[in-house]
Amino acid sequence: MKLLVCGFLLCASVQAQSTLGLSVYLDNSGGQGTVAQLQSFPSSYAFQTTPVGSVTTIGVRVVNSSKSAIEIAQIGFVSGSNQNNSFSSDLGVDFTLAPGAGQFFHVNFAPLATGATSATAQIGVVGASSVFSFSVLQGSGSPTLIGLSCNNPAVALCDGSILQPSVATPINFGNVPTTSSESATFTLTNGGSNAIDPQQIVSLVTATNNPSTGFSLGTLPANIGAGSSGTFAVTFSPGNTTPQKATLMVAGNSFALQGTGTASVTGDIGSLTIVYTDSTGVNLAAQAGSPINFGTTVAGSGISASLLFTVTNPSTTIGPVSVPSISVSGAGFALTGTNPAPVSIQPGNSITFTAAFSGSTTGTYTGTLLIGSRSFSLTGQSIVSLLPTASITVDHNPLLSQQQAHVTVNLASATPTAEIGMLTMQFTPSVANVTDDPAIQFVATNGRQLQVTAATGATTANYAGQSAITFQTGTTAGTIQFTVQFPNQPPVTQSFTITPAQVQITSGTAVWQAPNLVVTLNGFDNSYSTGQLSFVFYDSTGKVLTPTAISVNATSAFHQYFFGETTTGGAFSVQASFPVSGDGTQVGSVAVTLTNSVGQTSSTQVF
Amino acid sequence: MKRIVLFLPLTALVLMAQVNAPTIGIARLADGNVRALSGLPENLVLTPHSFGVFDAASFSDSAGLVAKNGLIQLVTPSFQVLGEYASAEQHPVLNVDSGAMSAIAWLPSSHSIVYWNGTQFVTTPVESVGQTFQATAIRLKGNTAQMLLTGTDNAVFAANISLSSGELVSISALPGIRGPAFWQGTDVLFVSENQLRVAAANGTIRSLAAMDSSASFARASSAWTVVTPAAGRTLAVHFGKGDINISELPRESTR
Repeated sequence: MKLLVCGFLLCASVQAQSTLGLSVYLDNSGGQGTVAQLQSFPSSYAFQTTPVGSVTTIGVRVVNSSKSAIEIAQIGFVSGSNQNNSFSSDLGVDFTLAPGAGQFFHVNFAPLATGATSATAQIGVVGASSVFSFSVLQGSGSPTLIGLSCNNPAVALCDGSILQPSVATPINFGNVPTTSSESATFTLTNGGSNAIDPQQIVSLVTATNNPSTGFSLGTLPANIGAGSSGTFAVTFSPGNTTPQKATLMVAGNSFALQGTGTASVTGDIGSLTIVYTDSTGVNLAAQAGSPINFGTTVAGSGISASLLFTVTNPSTTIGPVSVPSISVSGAGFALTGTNPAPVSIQPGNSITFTAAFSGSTTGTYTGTLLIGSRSFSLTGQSIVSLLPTASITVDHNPLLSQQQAHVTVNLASATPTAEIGMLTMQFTPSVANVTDDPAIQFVATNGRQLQVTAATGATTANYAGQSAITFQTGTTAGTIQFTVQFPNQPPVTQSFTITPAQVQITSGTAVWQAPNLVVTLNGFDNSYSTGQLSFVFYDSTGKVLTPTAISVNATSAFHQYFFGETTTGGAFSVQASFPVSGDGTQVGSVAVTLTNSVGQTSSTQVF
Repeated sequence: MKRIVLFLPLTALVLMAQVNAPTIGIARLADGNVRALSGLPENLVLTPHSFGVFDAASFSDSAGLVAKNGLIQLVTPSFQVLGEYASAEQHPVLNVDSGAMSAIAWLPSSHSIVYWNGTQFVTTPVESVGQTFQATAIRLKGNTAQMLLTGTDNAVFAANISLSSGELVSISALPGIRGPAFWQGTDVLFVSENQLRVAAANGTIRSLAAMDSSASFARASSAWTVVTPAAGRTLAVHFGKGDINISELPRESTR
């Protein structure tokens, strides 16, 4: 620090504007207002009475009103010949103010003891012969309403005195091995006239983008009566070697916590760093003092929440680390997949494993993960979705082939919450050696899945505003299975069977294309087993022209079609040509009988 | 009566039974893609291949017309181009309902008819149809073009236009039919009162399906017409022997 020619203790006159060219103002604008809008800092300023352990803060601005740059050394608060630590400021040290420039800062009054106190606020200027005393600050400390202190000689600031709220000066737990922990006992004192509930006013806050922390809050005391105190512990159990921070919140006051994990570099279990990846892909450090949260699953759904753990022996470690076992205990928790232990992890190498949680009934579950001698607590919640139970119905019963039917997702009652789910359909043919039927689709997407929405108050889930969702049943016997899956709900599945049926003829033509009679039939055989065809021709009066039906075994032709490159399932178009001698226009109609494994179908086509 | 002889003794040898996938036609989907359809009523399968995106299309079983950016092409079902006509028309009314010789188009912006004479497209200016009429369907019949015209009050008129002179030969109101309307054989498809309806040649009208908005029509084959509403589901209407079947057309694949 640069030399101050005039010490803080020697200056008598107090004024908001100095002969040095500095002006000081009360600034309630947070530094945003113009100087003209500000009030000069009074030569005497009285802070409001403040409980010991609390802080009162005011905004101040110092302005260089001279025509030369001024280098400010520091600010101080003195009472007589001593510094008064009940007053503090965040004005920086050793910085230059250009002509006309200002600097916003805070002055805090955090009384260390009850009773009145005062101090002269002084700004030292480099090269000046005296300091600039701009105000006499007065304050009064009242009995602590809610005081906080802590005890642990190894933890900075935990000397039993009342802690001043601060995010700038952390309660530092220092360096703690990753396999160990450090605890401090905090004492909460109720200086007010009413009981306080620590459950309501004490909490531990971590960064939202990394909720995993080595700090943990012990059991909080029950109500603390007026004039009484209670204790709780804060424990720092680092799981890795990165510096960690958290904030202890007490009645709205923030107390910064800090600590750093240290690891053995010799190659023991303490050398390992352990991280896990949650369902969103976020990597979090496993902390001994912070439960590993598997999140929420639906009770009884069988759907589990999994976390992927990665155990790494840092490359800075001298030797390999042996992990004799990895285990999980506690109802609802289990290791899934391959357990890599026992294993020796070389420096710079990692192993992975997966643990899963699924609760059978609703409630909060706890468990323990052991990686060698390293222990981590686990937690998970099992809930019931607010969405009423879903069911699936179709509007055709039974389902038949060649239908555009409608499926509806019904809710047991009006849903109190809006949800988006996925409706899928799956088809399993019952015809041997047939794998699918491409016509079986939702027509809205020409696919087999779509997103359905259950709006608040609705009793059905809709797609594009429609509750009856159109799908095609195809032309293949088998089972269509619908599944609807909503978040936090077990999937609901409903199957509908399409039984094998006789050949169905949907259209046909019979034409005379000299010298042939050509009969074309469109239809489907959902059993893929059409074999025998027979034709009986009649003249225009209805007289039989072919007393004996003309039969042909078309098994091979149909088999080749059905099991070839067909893309239309059991749908077919069969064309039969009959060479005729004479005038074919005299043929009036033809009756066609098609036989498959289920039975016979007849169709008459008129020429 | 002449005697009819079927080759009964040789039946097993000479009867030819061919089995294929049933074809439906070639349709322009709501997104403009033109794709082949196979299957049966209520069992429609879109072929994966798209012939491209077009502004309009009309197909019979043996030929088709497609239009894009004013270029009208006469194509076979395999999309072999038989002829083409360049115009500035963005919204042509196309029709092919049998062979290539049935290809005809109405160009509203130039008020003219274009048709295929077997070797090339021929243009006939039409001055006898008022600008207040909107043509929604056209077809070739002999030396005339038959058109369905919608008036300002949505009343529908059937007009015959001479292809040689472009003069109006006749015009008659179609009672009970509201525009836009479309011919399918002797039937007329149209949308009114939120219903897709069909009017038979004898004047009977029946509802086929709910349709919340106005629609456009395009022939996909001799027996199938695609009805594309301004919003909502696209329908494929199959005209069988005395039977009309409605299917919902699958949307373009989102898979």
